[in-house]
Amino acid sequence: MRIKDLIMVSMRNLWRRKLRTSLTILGVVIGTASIVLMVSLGIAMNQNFIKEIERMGSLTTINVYPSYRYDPMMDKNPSGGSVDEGMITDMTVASFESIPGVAIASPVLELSLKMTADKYVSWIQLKGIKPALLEVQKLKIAEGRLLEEQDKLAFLFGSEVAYGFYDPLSSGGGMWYYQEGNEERMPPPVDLMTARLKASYDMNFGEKAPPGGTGMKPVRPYNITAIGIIEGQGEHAYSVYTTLDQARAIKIEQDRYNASVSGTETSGTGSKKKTVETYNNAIVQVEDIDQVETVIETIKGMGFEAYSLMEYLKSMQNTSNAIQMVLGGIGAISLLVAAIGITNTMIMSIYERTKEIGVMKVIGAKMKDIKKMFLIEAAMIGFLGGATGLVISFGGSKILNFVGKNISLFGMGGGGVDTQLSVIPLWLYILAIVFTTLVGLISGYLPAVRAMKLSVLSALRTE
Amino acid sequence: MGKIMIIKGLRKVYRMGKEKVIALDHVDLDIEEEKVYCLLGPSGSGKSTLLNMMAGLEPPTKGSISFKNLKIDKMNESDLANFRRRHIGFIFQSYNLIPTLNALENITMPLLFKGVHPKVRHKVGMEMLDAIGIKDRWRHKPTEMSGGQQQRVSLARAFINDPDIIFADEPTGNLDTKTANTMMMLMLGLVKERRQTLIIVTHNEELAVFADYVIHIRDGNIYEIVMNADKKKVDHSTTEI
Repeated sequence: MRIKDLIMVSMRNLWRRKLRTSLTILGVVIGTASIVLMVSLGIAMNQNFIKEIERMGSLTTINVYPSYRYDPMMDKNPSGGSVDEGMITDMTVASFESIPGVAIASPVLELSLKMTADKYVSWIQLKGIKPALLEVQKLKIAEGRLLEEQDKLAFLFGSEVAYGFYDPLSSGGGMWYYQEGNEERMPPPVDLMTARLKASYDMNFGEKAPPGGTGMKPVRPYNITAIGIIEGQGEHAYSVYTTLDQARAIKIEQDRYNASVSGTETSGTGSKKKTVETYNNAIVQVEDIDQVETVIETIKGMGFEAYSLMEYLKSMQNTSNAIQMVLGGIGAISLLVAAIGITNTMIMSIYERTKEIGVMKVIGAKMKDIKKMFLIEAAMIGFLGGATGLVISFGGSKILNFVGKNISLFGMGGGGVDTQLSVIPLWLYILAIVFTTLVGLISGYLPAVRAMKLSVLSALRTE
Repeated sequence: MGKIMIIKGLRKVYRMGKEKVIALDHVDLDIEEEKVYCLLGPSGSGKSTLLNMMAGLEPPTKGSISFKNLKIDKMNESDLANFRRRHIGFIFQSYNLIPTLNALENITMPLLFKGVHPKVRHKVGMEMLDAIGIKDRWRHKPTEMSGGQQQRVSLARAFINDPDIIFADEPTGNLDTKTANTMMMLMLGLVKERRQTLIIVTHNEELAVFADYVIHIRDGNIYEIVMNADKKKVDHSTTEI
């Protein structure tokens, strides 16, 4: 029999029992819609996790810390010269860079500074890094440009840094720029790109001098140029970047100042120059997200602490997988019920058509043709149910997203504008339709074989 | 004239619970090509059983049936289906048309199973409908036709494949005498024209006059075979509705 004829005959047979066919299809529709919607909730949850984490920072960034709690401020390195294992030095950073899959590794030299921008004051955490790192991280700039190697006394600011500035003369402190009941954000008090910037490691800098003075000799602040503002929220939002060389230069002066203030220079370390410089931490940028875990393993194997958002993502994904399983399982039950419905319908229609099957066999139908005829019928029920179910899922997904726009279900979502409750990717559509057709085929198999094996004579004798 | 079917030592036993019912025993029969046979006997004589076994609808308990050089008794279900599709046509007492299909679709069903192209099916089917004289009713469903018309459709369905043997099980049993006669004429005309073999099962002795050989069956045995020498001539031109 030609396949076209088979399909046509099956279609006619379905059509001739419209009500029963549509009720059976309805079962599949409900099964498909529930399974697809449930899975779409899980997928949306997963996507929201990833989005949320990406807001926090790049998934391919690994932060490496020394292997023990080690405070660079206290690091006077009394033994002199030798550097403990597990400390981050230029050498270790170079060895990170040689790990396969690593795009770039940069040490981070952190300094706490006091800054002024016109009349406003703020504490900042300055990070000295290799300028190339920001390029590899594909950092987006809202204003200005990225850091370059030859920049001197030039800072790159995170988007949130400007909000940290306050007017020391005003009483309110003024750290909050949200208005009551209004999500709309006020502009920051100062535009860092245009303001006159000064920075100092003296923590009293910029404040009203206490009556009678601090008793310390004032430090001459650095004049700073703002070269750019980093776009968006995330790990860079509160950071201030400069070149490694610049950070190092400030640190040397800070160390010298601290020594002179506290008078600990007597130990003589100041004259004995450290042979190897150590850093607070290091940032390792991995080329591909799939390599993150192996690189972390390698770095940990070298005796360092290494963290990435991947680990956080992993645990979140485990949670969402478990939720997806439960949701999918609920959907699967309704599809199972639908599958039983298909089998039932097919058995019923074979009972009804027993005589017809007998006649067809007598006039020359092949065994296989009979089987195929019923299989196609069952598959068609599955397919039509799946297709209709997908249309309904599509609509349902739209409604869920519309209704859930302002509701944070499952406590996730974070209220982002693009947060969706239900996401149906293309593969889910294709998978669903293939799956329901398959469910139809499987449900129809037993009845079809039964029809095929009907004895001709007894089939003919049925009325 | 060659023999198209040879039956030897045929025996069929049915089990009715614990009891054995012997439907046929010691049946030997040769069927010649292009002849019309009539299996005549009262109900329960085993004539339908014989027909069913010849048509490959049920297997014999013992004995052999060969069609040309094919051993029908040795065939499995699937081979039997192929055998039926290629070599035989079947006409039922109760027409057995598919109620959801129209006349043309019913007639061309065997071609459908053969995988013939729809256009060819339509053409051949219309020719067949023309030959049996109900061309204008091709769109009608079985329920919209009279018994005679339905049996014509059933007839056309049996002939469309151009089979070697046509089996007819009480073909006129549900028809009035006049229609039955027209039907017989039509059937005999087609068989002669196409040089086919026809085997009719009936308990109606009036039909026996149309056959070349009348095989009398009684209690599961062939009682006697009568050759109809003074058979009525079949006039092809007298077929009418």
